[in-house]
Amino acid sequence: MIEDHLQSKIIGAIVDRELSRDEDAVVQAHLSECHECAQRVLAAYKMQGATRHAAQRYTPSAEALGRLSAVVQQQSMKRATVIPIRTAIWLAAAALLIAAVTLAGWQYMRASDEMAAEVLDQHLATLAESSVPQVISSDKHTVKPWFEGKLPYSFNLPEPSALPQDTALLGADLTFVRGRPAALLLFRIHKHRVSVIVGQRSTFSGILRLKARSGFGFISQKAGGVELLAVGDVEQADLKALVESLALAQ
Amino acid sequence: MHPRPAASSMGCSAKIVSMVPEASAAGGFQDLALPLLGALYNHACWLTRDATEAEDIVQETLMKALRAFETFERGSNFKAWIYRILRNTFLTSRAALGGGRPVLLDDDAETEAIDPSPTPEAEVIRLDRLDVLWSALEQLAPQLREVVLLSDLEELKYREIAEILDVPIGTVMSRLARARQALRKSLATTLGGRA
Repeated sequence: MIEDHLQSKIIGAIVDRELSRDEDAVVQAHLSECHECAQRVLAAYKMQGATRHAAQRYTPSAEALGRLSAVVQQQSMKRATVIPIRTAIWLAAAALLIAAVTLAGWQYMRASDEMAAEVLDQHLATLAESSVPQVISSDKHTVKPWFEGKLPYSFNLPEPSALPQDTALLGADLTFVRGRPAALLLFRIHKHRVSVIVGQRSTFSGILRLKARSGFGFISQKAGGVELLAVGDVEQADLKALVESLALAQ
Repeated sequence: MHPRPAASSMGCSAKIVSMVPEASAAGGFQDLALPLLGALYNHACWLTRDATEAEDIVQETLMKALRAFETFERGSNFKAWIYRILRNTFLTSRAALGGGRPVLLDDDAETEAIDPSPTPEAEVIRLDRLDVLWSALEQLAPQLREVVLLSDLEELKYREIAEILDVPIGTVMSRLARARQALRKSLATTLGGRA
């Protein structure tokens, strides 16, 4: 058992997933007892996510990417041959197309990775013992009105009886996804906490196909004028049932 | 930063000298290298702070990497391997040689500053203050900035970063801790609050 506060290097190793299983067990035992260190770990996760987002600063122009792609392709050839100029033009066009597709794919993967990390960070923040929702209520007539004037859209909540078995609303927070306001609904499924973020259409378009990250499941669905994204460490079927019950209410 | 103009053609007027692909090794290199072009360029820009230099370095890196591709150990991390080549290419470039002597870091310096008080990260994320983070990253010492980029952005393991930088793993951990502490301090200075 660790009695002192965790060193910065250990906090770094936690967020970088560099601890062995045994080390992780010891650290998790400490975090369950030490609120200060748990807060520092959450802050470190947020810092890492923010740094990742900011560090993706420079994107090559299509021309530069075309030149770099051409270097890879030309240098990857072994035997020289002579080909007609028309074929060469078609090959150049194909190289430019490949470069454009590569750039688009790279940007899409980066954006979806950032968003998944951001959403997961927000869910992890709700798991801290010290984390208290801004509105604490299982009553939809309390939670829904609380968002009035805070969001540029509206959404509905199901009656408690319409939620899946052993599932309850705990409260809600106003949150932000890629700088856009969204509702973070906190649910309990069995003994697990699950976050459902309700955003405007196309909020989660980058991660709609994501099913899991770092041991947490993701389920998303479009419903009415909103998108629902559930994150939690419960069975995918439980997540899906929760999202479907919310979707039916829209 | 502006992209460089297109390089002059080396072909003749009516015919263009091109190559026939060799299916095995060359194809493998293309499959591994093409998806990394954007990331390599981004990293080179952070190293050189100049778009033209960055593109030159990435081009040179790609050529060196292909020439040495036979020595690449299959099953190991290609990304870590090519980033090491990129860094070595940068270190011998005009951008690095013209940048003066690198600041020597005391990698054994104590980095502890246990402070559980509220931090500015949440505010940065909430306000989407990319400008503040860019400024904080720019202010980092180059050796600290590159270790943060390799870890937080490229998600390389400490062992891989140690190989790229040619330093012990403990040094990677020290530099990361110092870099993150410096970033938080910089954010706190800009946004208010304590690091």
